[in-house]
Amino acid sequence: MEKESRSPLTNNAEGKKAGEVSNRSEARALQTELNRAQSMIEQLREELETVRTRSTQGEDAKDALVKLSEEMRKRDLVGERELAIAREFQKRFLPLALPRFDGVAFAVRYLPCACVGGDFYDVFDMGNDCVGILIADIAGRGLPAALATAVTKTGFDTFRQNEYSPKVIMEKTNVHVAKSTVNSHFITAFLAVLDVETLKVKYVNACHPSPLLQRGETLELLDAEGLCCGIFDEPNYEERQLQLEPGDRLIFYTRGLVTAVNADGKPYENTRLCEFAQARRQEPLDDVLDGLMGDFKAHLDGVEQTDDVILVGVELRPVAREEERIVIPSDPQQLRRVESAVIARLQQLNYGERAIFAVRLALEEAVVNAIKHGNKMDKAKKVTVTFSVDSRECRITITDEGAGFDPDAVPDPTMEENLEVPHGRGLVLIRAYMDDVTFTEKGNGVTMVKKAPWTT
Amino acid sequence: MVQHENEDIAMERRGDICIARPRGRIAEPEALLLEKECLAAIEDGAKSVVVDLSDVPMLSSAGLGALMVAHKQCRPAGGGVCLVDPQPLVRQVLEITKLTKLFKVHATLDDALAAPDR
Repeated sequence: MEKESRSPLTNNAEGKKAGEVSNRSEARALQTELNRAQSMIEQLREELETVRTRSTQGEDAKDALVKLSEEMRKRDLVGERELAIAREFQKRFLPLALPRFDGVAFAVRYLPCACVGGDFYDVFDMGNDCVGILIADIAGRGLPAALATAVTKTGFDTFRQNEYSPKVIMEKTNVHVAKSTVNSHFITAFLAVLDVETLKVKYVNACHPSPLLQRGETLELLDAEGLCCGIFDEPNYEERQLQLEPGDRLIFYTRGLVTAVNADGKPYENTRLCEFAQARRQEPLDDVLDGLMGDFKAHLDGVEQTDDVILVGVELRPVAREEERIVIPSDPQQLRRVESAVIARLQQLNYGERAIFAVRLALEEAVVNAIKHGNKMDKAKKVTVTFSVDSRECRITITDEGAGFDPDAVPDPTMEENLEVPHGRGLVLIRAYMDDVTFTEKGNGVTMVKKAPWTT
Repeated sequence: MVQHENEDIAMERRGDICIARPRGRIAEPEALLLEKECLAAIEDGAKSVVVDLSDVPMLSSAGLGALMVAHKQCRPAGGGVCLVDPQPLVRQVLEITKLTKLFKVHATLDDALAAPDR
C-alpha cells in the first residue's frame, strides 16, 4: 500500500503570479541568484536617485529596471519548472508495486517535501527466495538531488543483478557514484537481503539511520559499520547477518522523519519513533505506519516539512500452526509410520542431521513408553500423536489411554546404583534430546519441543 | 546370519567370545532380537559379547536395555558386554546415560578381541 502526498506547487503552477515565491525552501542556488538580483536592484535604485536630476539618463535607468524585473521573473519560473521536472523524476525512482511473498508483508508511506528531496526506496524480488529492501537518503533539493538519485538508483539496480551480498552491491554502487559528477552529495543508504525461506537477513549500512527491529516486546536498532555512499575509496562496509523469526517487524525510515523540527525547534527524534512503534506493537503494520505519519504531522503542527519522509515496514507473518494427527494401535511396528511423517517435515524444512536424530530418538522413546507403560501393550488401546513443524520449532504431543504416571517418581538411571538397571532410560533421553518436555497432570501425555537449529 | 526386516544381526562365535554385528538402527524390535541372540549365545557357552556398533546409526533405550541384560548374563562367568566403534551420535547417547562407565568402548574389533578384560 502506497500513499503519495500532493505538493501545493503542482496544483498552483498555472495560477501563480510572476515573481511570487510561495515556498520558502527554494534551492540554495536560486537564493544566491536572488541575492545577486537584489543587490543589483539596490545599485540601480541608487543610480536612479543620483540620475533623477539628469533627465536624459532617466529613461535608461527605467529600462534597466524593467529588464531586471523581467530577469527575475524568468529565473523564478525556471526554478519552478526545475522543481516540476525533479518531481517527475522522483516519481519514476519509486517502485510501481511491491513484490508478494508468502509469509512477508510490506507497507510503505511516502511523504515528499514540497522542495523535492532526493530520498528513495526499493523492495525487489532477487530470485532464489530472496527479497532486497533498500532505503536511501540523498541530501539536497530539486534537480541536483534528482540527478544524484538517478545515478545512485541506477547503481543499485545494476549491481544487484545476480548478486546476493548486500556488501558487494553497496561497494559497487559506491564506486559507481564516486566516479560520477554527483559525488559531492551526502548519500546514505541501508540495504538488506532477506531469504524468505530461512528468514535469514544480511544487511549493510552506509551511514543511514538504523532501522527498527521489533521482536516480541523488545526493540533493537540494526546498525553496521560503513561510510556514506559515493565519496570514499574505502567505505569499509560491514555486512551483518541476523536470523529473523515469524512475528518480527522491521521499520526503515529516512532522516527527514527524525530531523524534522517543529516551531519550538525540537526535532521528532529517534526516541519518539521507537516509543510510538513500541506502543503500537500489537496493531497491524499498516495502521502503525499511518499512525506514525499522523504523529509526525502532529509534531510539526503546521511547520513546513523540509525533507522527504519515507517509511518502509516489513513484517514476518506468524506462521499458522499446521497440525497433523496420527493415531496408532499399541504396536511398536506402527511407530515407523509416525516417524516417517514427522521426519519428512523436518527434512523439508532443513532441520539437519542432529535435530532429526534427536527427534527420532525422543519420538521412539516416548511412543514406546506410551505403548509399554501407558497402554500396557494392549493392542486395543490407542496412542495419539499430534505434531507440527515450522520454521521455529517442532512440537510433538503423545497421548496414551493409560492411567498415567509420575515422571518425577522415576529413579534416575544415571546414578551409580541404578546404572545396571536395564530399564528407565527413556525419560533421560527424551529430556536430553528435546528442548522442552512437559507432561500432562495425569502423566498419560507428553509434549516435546525441538527448536529449529537456527533459532538457538 | 540372522535377518529381521531391515535389520541384520550377524552373530559369530570365536571361542568363548560372541561377536554381534547389528546393521541399522536398534530400536524396540531390533533390541528384542539382539537380546534374544546374545542370550542364546551365552547359554551356548559364550563368556563375553563384543557388539560392533559401527553400522548402527541410532540406539534407543530399548537397545541399551538389551545390552544391559546380556551384560548381566555374562557376569557370573566373569565376562561382560563391550562395544566397538560407536558412531558419534550413538556415543553421545551412551555418554548421556552414563553407560560409558559400564561398557568398555573400543575403537576397533581387534582392540576389543585383544583386550584382556573386555
